[in-house]
Amino acid sequence: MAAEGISVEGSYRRALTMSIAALCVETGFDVAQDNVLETLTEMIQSYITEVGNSTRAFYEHSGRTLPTGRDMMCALADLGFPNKQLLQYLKRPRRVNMGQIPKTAEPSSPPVLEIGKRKNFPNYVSDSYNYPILPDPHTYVRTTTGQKPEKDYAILRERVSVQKRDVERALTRFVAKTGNSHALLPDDKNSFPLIAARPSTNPYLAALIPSEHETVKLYENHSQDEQEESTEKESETPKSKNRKMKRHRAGNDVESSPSLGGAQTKQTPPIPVEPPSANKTPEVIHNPYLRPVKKPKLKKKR
Amino acid sequence: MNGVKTEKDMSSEEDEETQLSDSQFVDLLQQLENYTPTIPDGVAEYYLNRSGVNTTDTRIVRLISLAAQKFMSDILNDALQLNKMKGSAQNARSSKTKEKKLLLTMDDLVPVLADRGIKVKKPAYYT
Repeated sequence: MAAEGISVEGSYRRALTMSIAALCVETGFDVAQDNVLETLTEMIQSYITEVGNSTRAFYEHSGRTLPTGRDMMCALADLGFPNKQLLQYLKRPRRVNMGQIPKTAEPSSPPVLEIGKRKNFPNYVSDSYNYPILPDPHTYVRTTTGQKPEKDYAILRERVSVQKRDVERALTRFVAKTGNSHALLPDDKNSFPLIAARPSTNPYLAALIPSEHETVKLYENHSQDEQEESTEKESETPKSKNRKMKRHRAGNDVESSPSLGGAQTKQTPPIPVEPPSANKTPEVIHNPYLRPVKKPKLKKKR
Repeated sequence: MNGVKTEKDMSSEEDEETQLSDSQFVDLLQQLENYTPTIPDGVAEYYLNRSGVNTTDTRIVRLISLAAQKFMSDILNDALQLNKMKGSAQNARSSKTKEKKLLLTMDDLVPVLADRGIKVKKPAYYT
């Protein structure tokens, strides 16, 4: 690939050298040194590149992607080139022509599908500007899609209720289709399917087992109790002592139950000093994941 | 104003002398359509593409090759004048009337380029 690129570059450069040589002949020289030709080739190459760069800067500055003749004129004027002499130079008598490089046939691109009619330039753009023609209208014509959001309360409310009803019906149908169902109308079984009730084996169980919310509440109450207890312990009031005694008794009654932790039953004098510090830390730590693990304690059923 | 030209006046006057008017420019572009410059279109287009100008308008490509050609031609003309002046001085001294081929050398080119602010230096140990 690299070698190929160099050869392409080299051939273009050789063509430039040839044109320089032709110019030398045109001017009146018969022979030229190799290094002269090479120097001039280098110069003409950088001149073309420089004018190209400058032109690009001009047309990009005016927001176009294709150059016009005026961009090039500006670039040339910027380089200090006397443009006026070009007209005379065009009509010079001795002209050596090198001929054109035969172009290899380019692979023909499929014709672009044109959509809509191309716009003409507005009146104030003169033809002499030679701007490139406008592109296909579909590249810049804009059609708004969607509607403005509805703001009327009554309509929105109606929509919400319709949507809610739709969702409910769809859900019901889904459950009815996937599970057992009864037909509301005996003639047409599919029109109003009703979800079949599923009788549970122990209907009373739900009433007995505390729900999740209740357990959490219980737990929270319990932890609050504990905190109060610990603060009270610091200022050993006779009331708290009494309560503690009661708890001790209660704990001893259900020693066998695992739900009641041994912490309360095995209370020894040095331990009560520690819980305050252990209880204070949760106040600092608000993140529930960092708190020490506590098992929910159920109240004893009586 | 009191016969004193401001800098702006000077520059616009200078522009008028060197730059094309609108009609002349349109004329030039029209002429370029039927003109084949010495630098082939393909070559100029290649170098333009390399500097980021993407154009298929042959008039613009020809305009740039014509400008480059003019630039070179001016340099070569100056070099030719220098060469001829040197040659005539030598001829006068040696008084040889032998027909000689005109040879373009670096010795002619370097002063011409230096005149335009382009410094050409021979690499130090170049053979």
